[in-house]
Amino acid sequence: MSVVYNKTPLLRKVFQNSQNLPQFFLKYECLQPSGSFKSRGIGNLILKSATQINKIGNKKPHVFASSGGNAGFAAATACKTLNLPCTVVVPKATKQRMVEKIKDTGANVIINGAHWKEADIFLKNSIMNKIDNNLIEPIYVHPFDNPQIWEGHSTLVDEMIESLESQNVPLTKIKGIVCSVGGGGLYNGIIQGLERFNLANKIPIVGVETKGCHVFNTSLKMNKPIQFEKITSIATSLGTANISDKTFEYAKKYNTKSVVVEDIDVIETCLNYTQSSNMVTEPACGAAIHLAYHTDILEKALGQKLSADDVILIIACGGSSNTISDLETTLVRLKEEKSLKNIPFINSTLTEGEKHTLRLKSL
Amino acid sequence: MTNQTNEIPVYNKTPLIREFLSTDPDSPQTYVKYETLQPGRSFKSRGIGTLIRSRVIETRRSGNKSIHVFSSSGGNAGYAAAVTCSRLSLPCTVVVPLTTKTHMVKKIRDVGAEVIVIGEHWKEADSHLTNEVIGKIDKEKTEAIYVHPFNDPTIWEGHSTIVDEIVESLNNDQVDISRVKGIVCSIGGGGLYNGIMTGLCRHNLADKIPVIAVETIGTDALSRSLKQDKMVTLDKITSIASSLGSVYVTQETFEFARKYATKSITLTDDEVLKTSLKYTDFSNYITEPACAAAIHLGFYPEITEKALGHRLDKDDIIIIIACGGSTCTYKDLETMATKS
Repeated sequence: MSVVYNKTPLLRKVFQNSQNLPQFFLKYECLQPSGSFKSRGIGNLILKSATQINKIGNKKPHVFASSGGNAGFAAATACKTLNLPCTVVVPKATKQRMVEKIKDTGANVIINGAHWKEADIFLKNSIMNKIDNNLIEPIYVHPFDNPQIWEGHSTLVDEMIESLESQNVPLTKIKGIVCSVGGGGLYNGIIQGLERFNLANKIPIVGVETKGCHVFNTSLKMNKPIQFEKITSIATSLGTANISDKTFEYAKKYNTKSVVVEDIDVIETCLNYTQSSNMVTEPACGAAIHLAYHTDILEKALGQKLSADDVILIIACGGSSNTISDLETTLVRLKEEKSLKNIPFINSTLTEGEKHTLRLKSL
Repeated sequence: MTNQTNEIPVYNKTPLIREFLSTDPDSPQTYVKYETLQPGRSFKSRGIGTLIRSRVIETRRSGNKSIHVFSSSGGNAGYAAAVTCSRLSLPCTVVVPLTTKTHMVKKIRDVGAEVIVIGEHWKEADSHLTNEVIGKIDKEKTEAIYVHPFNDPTIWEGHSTIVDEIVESLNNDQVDISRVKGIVCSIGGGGLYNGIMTGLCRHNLADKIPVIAVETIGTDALSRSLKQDKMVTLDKITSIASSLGSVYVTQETFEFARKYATKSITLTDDEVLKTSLKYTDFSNYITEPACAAAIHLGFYPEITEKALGHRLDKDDIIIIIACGGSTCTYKDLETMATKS
């Protein structure tokens, strides 16, 4: 067991009782020290960098991160394990619960910026450039865009191959791997792992995003990397303005499939999944699991019907950003918004306020 | 047919994960065995899965009778039996008392088992099962496999695989077993505990690694039995940890506990409920009170130290069996917390 990440199980899970569905195996990344797969890649980056710095010996390592989400928490958790100082700048919108979680690891948390980009700029321009470079060697942790992070994530694939072997599941039965795509860090790691086993051309990946941060899908449709101006999905862990260049490159090379799902559907899946597994998942994780509850979407993406003999691997990426209460509150709000959009008004003499009241009453 | 039955897994190998539950930097290291990842969502899949499969193989070896599995648990045992039967394509009937939660009845039905709801409490449901259901089948044609929730040596044998896996995990990670200073597990009827003791004996560790057996006040049959130095049967269950709600522990549990100086701890419902909610926030896993009872000692290592009678340092390891269980939704936990 590595110091900074855990080997996690790949276990068969039955989502629906039917004879004709493919077999789903779930990779339980929620069991990482920080609750998400990010412990692999970010742990790898920090461990390798710190080891290198300590080998040289004249400076002390200090880790800097700018995510108030699972990446920041993964960095802070790895630093706690490795006994390294850690500073995390988080944007103002970060949930108090996540701020507390990151603080509890011993990291120094600074709240600054309206969103990630601003927090990141503040980190680089007002924190990192003020350190004493004679004494401290900084380790900057980007949430996803770093080859050492992808290398760390790729250990997922080695474990899955080993697990399938020990469970006597032939690799030829694997018809796809489903994973969520935010910036593409996890995806890049999976591709690199598959390449290592000469499987990148044999096992297609289905990359899932939520509508409102579907940068991957849009980039593939436009046939070039696209940047989103605004993120409008509630799946904040997937919410980045652009994917890494490597992600786009891999997707074209290996004909990766892209699926976009609605926020409201994903949250319902999260809550259904909690009922059937006792696990609380955030929307970013629910997005991948959603395809296990809706094999028609999966089959359409893969361009083939799946039988009970076929095996699909789903990366349950984990993540701690939502409690059940958060999910339920968000679901109510989304349903309200959806209903409000659907009610037409013929009588236009009503004021906006009256219309709003009538709409709410009809819910 | 026999080959297929042999090949289909009825339980999963689960991970042993280090968790930093205590904020005290000098606290012992806690490793959690994640039994919630079983097909039936609790460790019961091991023992009950093993029991059903071995009886099926036996039956098929000796003739052509059809098989029907029976259980009288509306809890994790009944669900484990139903899930096992779903995997092995066997008919399953579960008779449950009227007190059984609706969502458990639905869950058990959803995996294909027949559920009959009858009786004020478990004993009545079990009587109905034995006399009116099993008693009425044609024994020439059908082999009835009755699954007790815990009191069966084959079940304990199945549960004992937990220890094989723990030893393997520690060896794989090059962790010296002599660092393990205790194993914490919850006690209901003692089935899990018997399995752990069987496994420890198999590895010659029963004398070396003490077990800390946790109950709640109101399900504390073992604690009272040990205090009175004789088997005690409770009048009734008065704790919310319904999965621990057996009025007695098995004879073997009592004997193991005396022979191997098992430490006995009792916690209040309040303590356990708080831990359930805290652990959900910490790990994103919803645990029922029976499971939280063991995890509680991870948050409060001083309780473990008191039970063992000595301090533990940060190189010592305590293994907690997170037994799993799906009888409580998060809403159930919140409702119980509001009432207390």
